[in-house]
Amino acid sequence: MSKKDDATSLPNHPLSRGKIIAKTITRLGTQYAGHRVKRVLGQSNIQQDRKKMATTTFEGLSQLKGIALKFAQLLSMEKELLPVEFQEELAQAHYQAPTLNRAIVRKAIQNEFGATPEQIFMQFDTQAFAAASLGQVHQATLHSGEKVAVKIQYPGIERSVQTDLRIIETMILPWMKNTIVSHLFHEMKNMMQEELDYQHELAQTQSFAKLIPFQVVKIPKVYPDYCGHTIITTSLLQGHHLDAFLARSPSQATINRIAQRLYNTVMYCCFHLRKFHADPNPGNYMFWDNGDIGILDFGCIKRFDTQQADTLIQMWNAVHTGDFAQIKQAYADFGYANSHLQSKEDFHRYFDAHYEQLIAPFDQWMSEPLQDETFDLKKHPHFCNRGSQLFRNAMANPKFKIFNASLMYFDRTWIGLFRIFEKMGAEIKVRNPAYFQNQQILKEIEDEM
Amino acid sequence: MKISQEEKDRNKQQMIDAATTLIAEQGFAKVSLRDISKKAGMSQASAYKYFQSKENIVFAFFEQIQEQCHEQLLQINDFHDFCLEEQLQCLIETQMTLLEPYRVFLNEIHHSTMTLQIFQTMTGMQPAREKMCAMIDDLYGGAIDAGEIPQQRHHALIVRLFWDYLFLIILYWLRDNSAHYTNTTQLIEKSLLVITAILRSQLLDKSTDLINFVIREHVFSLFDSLTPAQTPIKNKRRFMEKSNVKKR
Repeated sequence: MSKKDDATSLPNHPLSRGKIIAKTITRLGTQYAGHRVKRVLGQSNIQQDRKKMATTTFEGLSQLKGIALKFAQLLSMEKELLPVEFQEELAQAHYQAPTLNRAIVRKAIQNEFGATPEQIFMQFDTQAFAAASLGQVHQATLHSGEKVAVKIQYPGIERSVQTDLRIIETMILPWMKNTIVSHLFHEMKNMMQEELDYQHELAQTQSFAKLIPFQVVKIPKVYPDYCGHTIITTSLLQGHHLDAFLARSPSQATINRIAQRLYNTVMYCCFHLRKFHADPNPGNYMFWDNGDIGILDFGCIKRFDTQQADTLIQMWNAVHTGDFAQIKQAYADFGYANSHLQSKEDFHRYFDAHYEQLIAPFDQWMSEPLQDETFDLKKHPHFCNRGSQLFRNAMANPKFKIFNASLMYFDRTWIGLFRIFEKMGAEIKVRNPAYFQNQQILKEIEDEM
Repeated sequence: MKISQEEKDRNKQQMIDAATTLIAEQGFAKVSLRDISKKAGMSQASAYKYFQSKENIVFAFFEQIQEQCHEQLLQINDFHDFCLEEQLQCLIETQMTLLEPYRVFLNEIHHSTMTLQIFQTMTGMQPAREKMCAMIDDLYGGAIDAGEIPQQRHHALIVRLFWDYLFLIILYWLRDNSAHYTNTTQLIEKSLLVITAILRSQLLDKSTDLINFVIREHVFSLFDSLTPAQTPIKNKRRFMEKSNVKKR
């Protein structure tokens, strides 16, 4: 790629963002039309055409950055659902969004700290080494000699996110009143606002570092003096991302150990700390040959209130034993009843009529790994695809009217986690989440880590 | 009494500081050289040795900005690794950062009878312009040497045009109220993309070639059609003979 191509910043103006969307759609449209014509003429090369369409989609999305990049990342998380050509293109969203012009990187640092990178750092690499949510990460060295990762938010992204949200709010939502989409949108809007403020991420990273007691779990150290609203500086973790780690062909024992540690840590966060890392993008985890794991990017954190974690455990147990009354009670406790179905009677009637068909298959999938002592992903091919499909089926059904944000984020985290295990081909000891609330057994887990 | 160069520089600096503060406070028209020298703690006579008019102080101010910009760009370790757009954007952004504390002062000058555009073109601005052009010339030459852009016929003209470009950006920036002047940053980025694209494609050379061709081939041949045909004219009287006839 020529240097000129990298040097694109954010299209901020609503019109120019609209233009990129329109251009992408038009190009996709023509490509699709061409593809259909060729098919009729019998000269279609499906793979090549799809590859072209995938490239166009990704180019369009990454030019927009902002929500679109986030969307690309979400898609690549659910990537097994897409044709393989799309998978390849979209997977790039993890690490390879187009980088910012170096002059703008300098400007972003000056805006935040009022000084040039040379004045602030002993050494600063103007070339980004990774893309992050809503920004990019640069390597630098502090004057104390410590190597750090400096995450810089794309300048102007806040405005383009607001524009995107406004476009969706005024053009799409009016047609979707009181649907899951409108709930999702408001949830996404809140989440984006939190993710835009790196001060929030700073506080969360520090809090997790303090709260997670396991030695083998590495959480980057934050340097508050080098942080602002649009820049966050943390220690540089030098492990391997999932693909790179697996490419080093670790032993099955190491894989299982690492997967177990990851499972224990995530469950500990969800059910003991009652707050969890809700962005299970594989780019947010790091692995070491000795079995250590690292967690990055605490921008997307979701909480369970005091009741919710317990209710979820009860629900799981009820799904396991097939206790319908208990399941219904759990859903009612979750606050589902309040979202759409005004009265208690409405909720009961709705739940009795639709649970079996709509929600039960996904619930059963969720609790499947908990049925035995251990769960071997190698013995359950397409486990995650099945889960994503059930999740999507439920969400996409017009009859699906109940929504709870915490639960949705937990479901996503669960799917994301198992997707990583699946890729590793790991076998894990799946402890019931209730164990993570029991102090005595917790001691056992800590020793095991 | 002879004073050292160091002291001279210090006095000059004091005059510039005093002028920028006073003009920012009171406006360009209301401030006199006497006010400035008083504020700088100098007699009017010694102030006059450095600057004969307040305009000259403004020229010196811009010259100083160019020198500081030069210094700051030298501090960037990997500046030579930047591509031409990035280098130019860095140069312009550095100027903006240096000018930022003087925003009110610049606004006052711009709103005085002498607008910034007039200042920009005055001969007194020559030293500042030369200093900026030297930087541009260096970056531009470096890009040509590295094969980043092709050799251009209008090298000197292009370099000088950047001076006008800088003032265009300053004028826009003075009206930019976005946080951290994000709009100006975007204007710089987008316009530099256009400028470098023009340089890459040698559009300037090609378009002057085209204009040349149009003028030679079409405009000149149009002149041919204006040339009157050689038609026989009736016999005229001889030169200077009309009055002679009367006299006779």
